[in-house]
Amino acid sequence: MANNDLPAKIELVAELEGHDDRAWHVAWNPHRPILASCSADKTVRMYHYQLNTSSSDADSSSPLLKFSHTTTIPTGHTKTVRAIAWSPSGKTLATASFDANIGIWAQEEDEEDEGAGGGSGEWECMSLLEGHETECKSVAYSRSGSLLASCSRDKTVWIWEVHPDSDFECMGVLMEHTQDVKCVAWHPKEEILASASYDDTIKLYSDDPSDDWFCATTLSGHDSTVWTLAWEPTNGKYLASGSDDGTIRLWRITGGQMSEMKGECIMALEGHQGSIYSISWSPGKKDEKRIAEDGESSLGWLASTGGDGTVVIWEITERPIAGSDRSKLSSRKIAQLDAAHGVFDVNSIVWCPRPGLEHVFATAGDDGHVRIWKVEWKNT
Amino acid sequence: MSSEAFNPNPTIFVPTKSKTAAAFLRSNSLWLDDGERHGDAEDYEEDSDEVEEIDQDEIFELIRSISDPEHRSMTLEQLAVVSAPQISFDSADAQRQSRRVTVEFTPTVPHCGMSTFIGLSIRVRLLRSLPNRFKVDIRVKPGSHQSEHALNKQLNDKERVAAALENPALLEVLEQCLAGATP
Amino acid sequence: MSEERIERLVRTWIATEQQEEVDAAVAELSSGNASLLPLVKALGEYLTSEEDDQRTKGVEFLSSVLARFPREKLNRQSVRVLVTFYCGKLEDTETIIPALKGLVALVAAPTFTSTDAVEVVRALFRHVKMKVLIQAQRFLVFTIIDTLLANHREAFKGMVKEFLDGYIAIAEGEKDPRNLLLAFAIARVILIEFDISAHVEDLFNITFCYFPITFRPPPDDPYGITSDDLKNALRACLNATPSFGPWAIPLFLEKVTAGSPVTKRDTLQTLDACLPVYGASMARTHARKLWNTLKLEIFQPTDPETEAKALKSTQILIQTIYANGADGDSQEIEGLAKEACEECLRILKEPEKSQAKPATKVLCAFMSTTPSVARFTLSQAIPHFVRLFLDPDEAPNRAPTLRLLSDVVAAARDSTLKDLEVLDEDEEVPLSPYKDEVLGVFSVGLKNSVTCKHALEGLRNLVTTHGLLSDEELGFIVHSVNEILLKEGMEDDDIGEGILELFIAISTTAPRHVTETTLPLLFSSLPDRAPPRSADADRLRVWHILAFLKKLCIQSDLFEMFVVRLSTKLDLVCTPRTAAEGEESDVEPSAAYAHSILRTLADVLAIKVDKEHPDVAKYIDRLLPRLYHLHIYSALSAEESQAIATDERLVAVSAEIITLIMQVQTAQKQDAFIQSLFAAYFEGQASQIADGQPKLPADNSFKPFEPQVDPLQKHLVPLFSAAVVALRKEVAFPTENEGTVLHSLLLWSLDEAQTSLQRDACNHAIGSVVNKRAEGLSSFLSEELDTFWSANIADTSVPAERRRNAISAWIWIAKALLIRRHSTAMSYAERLFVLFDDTEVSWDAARAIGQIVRADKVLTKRNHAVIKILYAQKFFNALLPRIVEGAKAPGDPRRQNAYLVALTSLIKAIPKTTYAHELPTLMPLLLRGLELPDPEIRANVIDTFLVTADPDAKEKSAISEHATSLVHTMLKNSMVSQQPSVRLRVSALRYLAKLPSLVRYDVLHPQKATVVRELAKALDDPKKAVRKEAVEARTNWFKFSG
Repeated sequence: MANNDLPAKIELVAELEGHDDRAWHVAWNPHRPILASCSADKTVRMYHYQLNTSSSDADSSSPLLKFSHTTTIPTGHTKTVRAIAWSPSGKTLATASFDANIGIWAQEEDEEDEGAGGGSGEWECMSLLEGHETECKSVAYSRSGSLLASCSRDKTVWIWEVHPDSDFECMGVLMEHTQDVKCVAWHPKEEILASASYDDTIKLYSDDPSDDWFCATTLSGHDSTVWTLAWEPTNGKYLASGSDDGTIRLWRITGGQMSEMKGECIMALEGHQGSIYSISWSPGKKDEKRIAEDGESSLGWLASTGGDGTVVIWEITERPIAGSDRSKLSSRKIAQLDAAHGVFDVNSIVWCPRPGLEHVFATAGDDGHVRIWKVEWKNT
Repeated sequence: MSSEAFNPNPTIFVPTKSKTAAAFLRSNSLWLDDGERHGDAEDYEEDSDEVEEIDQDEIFELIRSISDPEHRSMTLEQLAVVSAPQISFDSADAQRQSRRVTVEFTPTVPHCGMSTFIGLSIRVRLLRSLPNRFKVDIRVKPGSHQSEHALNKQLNDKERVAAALENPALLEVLEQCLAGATP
Repeated sequence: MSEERIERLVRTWIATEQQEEVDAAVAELSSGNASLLPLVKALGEYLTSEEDDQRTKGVEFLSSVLARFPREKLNRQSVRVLVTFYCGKLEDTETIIPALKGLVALVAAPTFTSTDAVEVVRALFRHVKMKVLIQAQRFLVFTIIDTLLANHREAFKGMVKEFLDGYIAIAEGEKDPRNLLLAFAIARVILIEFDISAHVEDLFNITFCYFPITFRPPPDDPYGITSDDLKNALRACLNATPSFGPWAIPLFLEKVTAGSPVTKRDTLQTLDACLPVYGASMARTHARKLWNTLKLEIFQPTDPETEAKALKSTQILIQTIYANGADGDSQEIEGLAKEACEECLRILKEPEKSQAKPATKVLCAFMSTTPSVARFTLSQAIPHFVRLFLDPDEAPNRAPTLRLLSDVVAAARDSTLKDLEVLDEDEEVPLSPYKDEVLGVFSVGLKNSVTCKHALEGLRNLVTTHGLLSDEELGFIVHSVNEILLKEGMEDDDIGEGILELFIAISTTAPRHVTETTLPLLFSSLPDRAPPRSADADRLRVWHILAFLKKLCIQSDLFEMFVVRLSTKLDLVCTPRTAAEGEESDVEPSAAYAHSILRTLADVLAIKVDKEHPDVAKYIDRLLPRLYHLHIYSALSAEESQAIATDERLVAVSAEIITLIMQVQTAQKQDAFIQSLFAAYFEGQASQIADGQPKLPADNSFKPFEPQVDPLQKHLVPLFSAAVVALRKEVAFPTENEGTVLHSLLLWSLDEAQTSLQRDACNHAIGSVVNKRAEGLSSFLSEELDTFWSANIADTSVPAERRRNAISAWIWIAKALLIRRHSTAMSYAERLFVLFDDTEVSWDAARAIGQIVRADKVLTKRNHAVIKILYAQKFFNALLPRIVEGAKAPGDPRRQNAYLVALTSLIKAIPKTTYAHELPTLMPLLLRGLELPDPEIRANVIDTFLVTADPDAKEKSAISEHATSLVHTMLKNSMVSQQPSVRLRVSALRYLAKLPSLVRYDVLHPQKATVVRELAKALDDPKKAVRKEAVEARTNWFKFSG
């Protein structure tokens, strides 16, 4: 089996059952040891996790992390909860539902006890953002947490300004796409938003000094629906996109709020059969045994999955081109896992953002399960 | 459903009798099945652990009797919208556990606005009736519909299908069409 | 009669208003010369009192008395006075109500004259304001008018305008159903009897405003008026006069077009009732509009029912238009029939399209209208279809064309059957003129596999048309069908079916053609020797032909030939000619072939016995000797190649045949037969039973019941029992003591019998005799069976196998006694309980409990068994408490389980109604039964659940209560991973499929997600049969929602 020749291996850390129906999406809380998942069963499930002290990285017999189900939010959404997003503060969670609404959830005020992962406090709906005409498919907080973006089958992308006391104000409705908008993703540093659509394109937006949002550029190249987006985590110089056409494309994004924005496709990764539903990009962990060629620097790990049920981990590296400000990107597949959820589709894959756990990711599948995995460089 | 008819007077085809061999032919032994055994209702070869693979015909059985949204009294088979030969397996993964099936259907007219719905009803019937390891692609017969590409794309977008099934009005009509189809 | 008495009565009544006074007064007055005047006099002061209430009471009393007063005794004078009196009281708002009561009685009086009548209605019209009266009071008014109208119509005809104006004012705006029934009745009389020319529109308005009736009777309606009562009453008005036509028809059209399905149907029905009355010219003027509306309902039907009604209305429309139309030459048809017909034919230019079907339905409907229209339609339709069929460009559409043509033929056929107005006796069959071309087209259709099916159907419709085809035409059809019989007929099920039905149809009138040409063809294509193992195709063909014969040869002539030819074949197959080299070693195929022939014989016989065909009886002489000969011969003959007919599988089928034929014999016949049967089986005179057959080799050596006899002979014991089980109860064994025979049979089944078939056969014979002749068997039933029990069942040192066999024998004896409700029956069953903690046979004993009551194929009415009703209930009620107790009792689990097994087998064996009421108690036990390892028991439990699962039953709490555990056990039992038994998996899935219809959503929905997810696994079952059930179940659960 080809996967054995690859330099890294993927191991199951935990399996979280409980959803009554297809699980669509997972989200790691950026600050607290909480994992949330959402499902067609209209609920959000919260898990608390902690390092399994008994285990060192070497011994994989006992799992790295221990998970425990803390609570299930019925949400009250009348239809599927399609996507969830934590605010950077980790205090609020946004839910995007097929009932066309965005729910904003926070915990009652007794949550400052870290570690406890806010097990105790009840999660309550602080406000409900109405405005989309049809199913909401994705939601995302900007780096600063001051902005929230949502998208829908109604072809629009909405940008909301976050005020204190879960008060939201719509800053703009962007009607650039000609079909459903499947995914929105914020730039890791600047207030730049990317959206992916059923119309096969990706659009980038930013706002002018008078806070009017506009579409800065359109990235075309995919042959079918673009399902998912991921920014290169540290500088956001690159954007990755996964599509129904079975490819992942890497785009170099230049310019920004200051100068005119451009995006060019510099690479297409192939390795999946059929739709790619989800990708995620983390700083990853260095491969100690590998001697970096001079100037080469790792841009981290890109994880992808989709309808073929396969998970692929790619390492993306960058090497400056001598005598130019540009640099060359290269990628290698470092690990692959087939049938990550048995015969079922995998809908979502997300790296753990918390320090020390960059090599841990979670997946959500049509079997209603959430699985936690870790990537390890092979010793020999 | 829209009121204007896309094809008020479609052609009807004589259903191809599903090849269900008479009881006595099934036992390919020398001996004719005994009346007793017909009498005692079902009699399964308990012992035989031979596996009967799901085949083209079995899948066709599932969808043949779905009724046409525009002509409820008629089945997709009668209108030749679906047919056994239009169901194909991906031979590549014959060994692998999960199987890819492609179900092709033929709208009665190239401008048929019901095609999405028909495709959806086939999709749902199979979603409910085939094991999870079966991955189904639903496509209109090439050249049989003016917006072929859009149709195929929509019918195979799992997110759109999922959302459609949460639309009560649509679901109701769907159940009606499938009801004609309950195996 | 004393005035004082009356006055006293009056006073007391005014004070108390008691019924007694009324009765007393009636009694008092109706005696003697019976005049009401004294009462009026006595009431005088009240009737005129200034006190409203006093007046009211006064009139009230008078009316109450009048109401009970014998009408015929009312003399003219009283009536006169009362009329004037009451008419006066109508003006007085205080007395109008009692006055109306009084009038109701008064107007019915014989001495009430037309002049009175006129006076009363005038008063009514003048003073009564319906708006201010309540329903019951308005009812009085209608009753009065109804009575008047019944007796004094003529008087009112003299004052038409006044009367109608008055009545219309009264009837307008009535809402109450009870009053409406009356009002409609009145209206009908008026519409029919009076000259309404000046009032048509008003009358139309006060009737049609109620159409369509949407009234739904309230649950507690004291008068039990149904909406149909109203609909019919209203219809009776609407079709009371032709003059409604111009207003009614447009309104009908509107309702049909715009109304709900219910309204559509109601309107169409009403239209049917009205059109004939409105008349031909009216129908003609609106023909187009009517047709266009009806057409819509036929070509885009809302539902089958409405479509049917629309077709009916179309027929009525046509009938009305062409009712008295000169029944001349069909070419004269003009107008709607012609246009509609042409319209349909235009559509039928594309016979393959969906609109073709309704178009044909219309043409078919025309068949049953008027002779001229029918003839015209045929003259148009048939040539059209024939032309289409013959048109080379239309070749691809021949199949639909023939299908439609055959529909038309059928319609033409039925039109002559149904109403004979369409066809006077002397007139020719409408189809006759086209007979040849139609026959031609269909016979061409036969030649092509695509059209064949419809051609056959068409031919059948021709054949079944009374008086159409000549004998040689029938011959011709049979001949041309024979040509395809052996090829397409055997390969394609549809065509085979079609041919069969056609032949069966022909056989009823002209069997000759079939016996002379078809049957020989079929028989000669049956080989004389079995196809060898390898020749699957040949074998399949043989089976096809036999299957065909089986369906065809029911009719007595055909059957006779069938028996002769098949028994001959049988001899050939079972006595193979001496060794041709090679294949001789393999007799299996011959046995199998012989078996299939016997099977076919048995099946046809079974059908004929069901249909009580008298000709079955004679085969006791024509077939049975041959059968016995066949088997005994091969049992006696030495060489192994001859032993085919001793094969138990053949014997079993022959046994069936013997029983079937014996069943229908008279006692005398049976008596004679049993003599020779005993001679053959016990006295070594085998030839006696094979009378008229070739000599048997060494027949005196046939002694199947003797110990150490050639095992082959033992195989034939079932053929003995087969005859015995069908004996009538008055038929005795030819022996002085039947008990001893039974006893020896009993022992034979234990000591000598080698196969379960032999053993069962014995037990059946024993059971059958015990059941029918218990009276003469007392010693056998007591002593001999006692010893039998202790020696063979109770004694644990006896080998388990022998004990089991003994138990099955025991079962049959107990059964035999139970179903005739013999006094000792229960004791035989109860003995079994002592075995329940036996280490070896406890479960066998437990199962036996059920097997005793289970209905079987031996002790049946047909076999003349003595069966008393309610024996199952008796048995169940007697044993259930003991079983339930035993199952609950703590202690030895083996014992407990035995009781559970007994319970499940018992319940499986008896009709649902017997135990349904016990279900709540039994449920928990049955659920425990589902935990037992034995899959058969579990399947039985689930089957029990299935039969008791009645979605309509009110009392389903038993199920709801256990819903959750039911769901889980059923899921467990439906997974191939856990459950190897296909039958069990299927049952479990079937039950899961039913649950949603049995348990309320709010109770069950927590399980939904799990079930849907788990069933996904069952969808992947290795067996197709299981997957099918899984699909069904999962679909139901998906649809299951609050």
